[in-house]
Amino acid sequence: MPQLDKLRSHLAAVPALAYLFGFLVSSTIELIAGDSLATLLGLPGMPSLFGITLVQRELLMLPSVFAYDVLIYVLPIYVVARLCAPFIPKLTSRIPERFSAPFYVLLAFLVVQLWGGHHEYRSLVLSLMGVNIVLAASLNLINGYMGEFSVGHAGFMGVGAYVASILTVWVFPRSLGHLTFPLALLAGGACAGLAGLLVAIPSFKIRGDYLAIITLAVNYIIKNGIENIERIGGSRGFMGMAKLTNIPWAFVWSALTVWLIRNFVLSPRGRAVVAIREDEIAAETMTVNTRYTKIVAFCLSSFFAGIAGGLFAHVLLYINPSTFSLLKSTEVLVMVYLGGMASMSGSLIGAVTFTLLLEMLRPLEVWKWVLIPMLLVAMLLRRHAGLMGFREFSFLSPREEAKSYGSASD
Amino acid sequence: MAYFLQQLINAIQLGSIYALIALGYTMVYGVLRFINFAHGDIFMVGALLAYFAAGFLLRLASRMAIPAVLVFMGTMLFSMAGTTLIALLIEKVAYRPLRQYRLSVVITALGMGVLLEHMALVIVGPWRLSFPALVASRVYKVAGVSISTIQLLIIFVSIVLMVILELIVQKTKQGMAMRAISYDRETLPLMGVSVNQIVSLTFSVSSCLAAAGGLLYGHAYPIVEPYMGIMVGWKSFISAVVGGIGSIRGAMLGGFILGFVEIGAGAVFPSRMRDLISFVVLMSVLLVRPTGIFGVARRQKV
Repeated sequence: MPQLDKLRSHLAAVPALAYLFGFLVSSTIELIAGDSLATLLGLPGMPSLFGITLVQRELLMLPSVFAYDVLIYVLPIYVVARLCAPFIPKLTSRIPERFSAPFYVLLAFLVVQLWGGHHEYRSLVLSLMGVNIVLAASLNLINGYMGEFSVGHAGFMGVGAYVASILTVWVFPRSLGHLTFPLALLAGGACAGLAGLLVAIPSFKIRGDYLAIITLAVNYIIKNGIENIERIGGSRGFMGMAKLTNIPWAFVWSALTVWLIRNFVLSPRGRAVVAIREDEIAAETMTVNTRYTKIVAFCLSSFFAGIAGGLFAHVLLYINPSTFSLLKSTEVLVMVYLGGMASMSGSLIGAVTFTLLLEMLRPLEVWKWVLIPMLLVAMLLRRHAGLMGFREFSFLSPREEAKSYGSASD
Repeated sequence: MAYFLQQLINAIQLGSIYALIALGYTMVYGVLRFINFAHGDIFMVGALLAYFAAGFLLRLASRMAIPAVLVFMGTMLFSMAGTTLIALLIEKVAYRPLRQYRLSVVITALGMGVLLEHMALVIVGPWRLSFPALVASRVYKVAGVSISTIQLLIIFVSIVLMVILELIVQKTKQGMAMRAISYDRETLPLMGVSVNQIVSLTFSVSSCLAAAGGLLYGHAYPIVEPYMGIMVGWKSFISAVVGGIGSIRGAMLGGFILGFVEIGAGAVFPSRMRDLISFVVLMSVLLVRPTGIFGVARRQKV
């Protein structure tokens, strides 16, 4: 469609930073004037997710929702972005190289916090989104970069969730809350990382589809194992956590995960991971220590899955072994392949889109799960490696490569 | 001893259903080198179609005095035909265009599985439907071991189907093409064999077996519901892998092994540990033989 392409190139002419500023302004406007505008337009309250759920319940709200979205989001973002665009190159040249990444991240955090911080449902969605980003990014390390097919990611998530919850509920004093929360998460991640050895060690000998079975079995063994420990609630689940996961924590951990995994993949050990995907035997003959590399990759991946589990447990405040069954693993797989294999940008996009889709289509109830697979298949038929498969946004791709091959952004 | 024999029969009953479904995984894998994760849900579709056909045919039979054998055959044929149609449609829409991208097909397969589950949920609702008995259940007592007609039926039908499958694969030209395609995919089209035809045939055969599995499962554990395919599907997949995925005899053996392990673990350990024990056993099998019992390790050239 030529019009669509024209619109895309028109929008792409403005740097991403300008859009961030635009979103910042629009979130501020919403914070100040959102409620009164909503009452003016006859909406029952500030639309939580751009009013899409509202429209599905009451189609007649469509004009008001449309007007709200245009006035609060589209117009301010577009205008501010256009106005800022000329000053962006000057601004970016002012910021020293080493501060540019923290600057972007801080700005993104401000946007997210301003948009969702004041709204309970939005912060719930954003926290879940953070959890999903951590999950998708960590699974992408195995399924995308290493080329093995893991279908048991939820198991490691479960280990992390249980360890972190037990620590915050039984061990750490409740008054310290947020101070000890990272410790609990790290402990959960470490235990999950150790559980990752259950897959890593068989992976020396067992490959491909047979390894998929091992991951599946490990997922079941973990789930069924937890069910059989009466001390932590067995199949009734575990509760009593305080609501510790909020937007800042979710944001910090997802940014940290994406940053660390991106850097890991670009490090020598990470290149070895990619070499294993391309050809394990050739990699071995080229002096790659495949066993050690596999251990590092599996443990790192399950470590982050454990962190995600800990975060997840402190969002929902109740966990149950069957939460961490294959269904959850399948969800993570969908996020990874929707976003794109071997790409951190893909994991970001996949997790964000999937979380939003899941929440926005909630009024459709059962039909939601008919629609989502259809969308997934339609998308994969067009782009077989996912939306961003094997590509990265320019802000995630390393500098030398951006110079020599041109920007990898899209 | 009688207790042991009783468990043995239960294990064979469960194992033959697993084997029927595992055959579907293994045949598609042998031809396309891809795990059809929607197969468990194809099995569910088969069971649901059988449920509807059985309800209809039983009502018809009560009016017109049709023998039970015909009702059973009719139900099976109807469910096989419907399931085959759906499987072929899925193959055409979601698998064929992506055939050269192995990992993407796996994901569309997972997606198709979720789609089938929820389509079924939309159509029949979240109820647990109780499967009508097509065969009068009678229990025979032989030396302290009780065997029901349903158990006999399940074992008999699955053995017949496996023999038919073995004949198709070993004796017919199409079967030869199926074996050839798993042996060398590049050369086969050069011999004038249409790959797409063979793939369609494979999907038809495997979904027929899944439909039969669904019908038999519905008889043995008379509950049919949209999510029934998930657990059974994964377990059959495991039996296929334990037997060596791609090997037809391996899938049969794997199904029976899983049946024995599950029933055995349930008899020795508390029943809530059953899955745990069976998965640990399967993992150990794979650790000893990384490519399953009948699987052949592929030599890799560098």
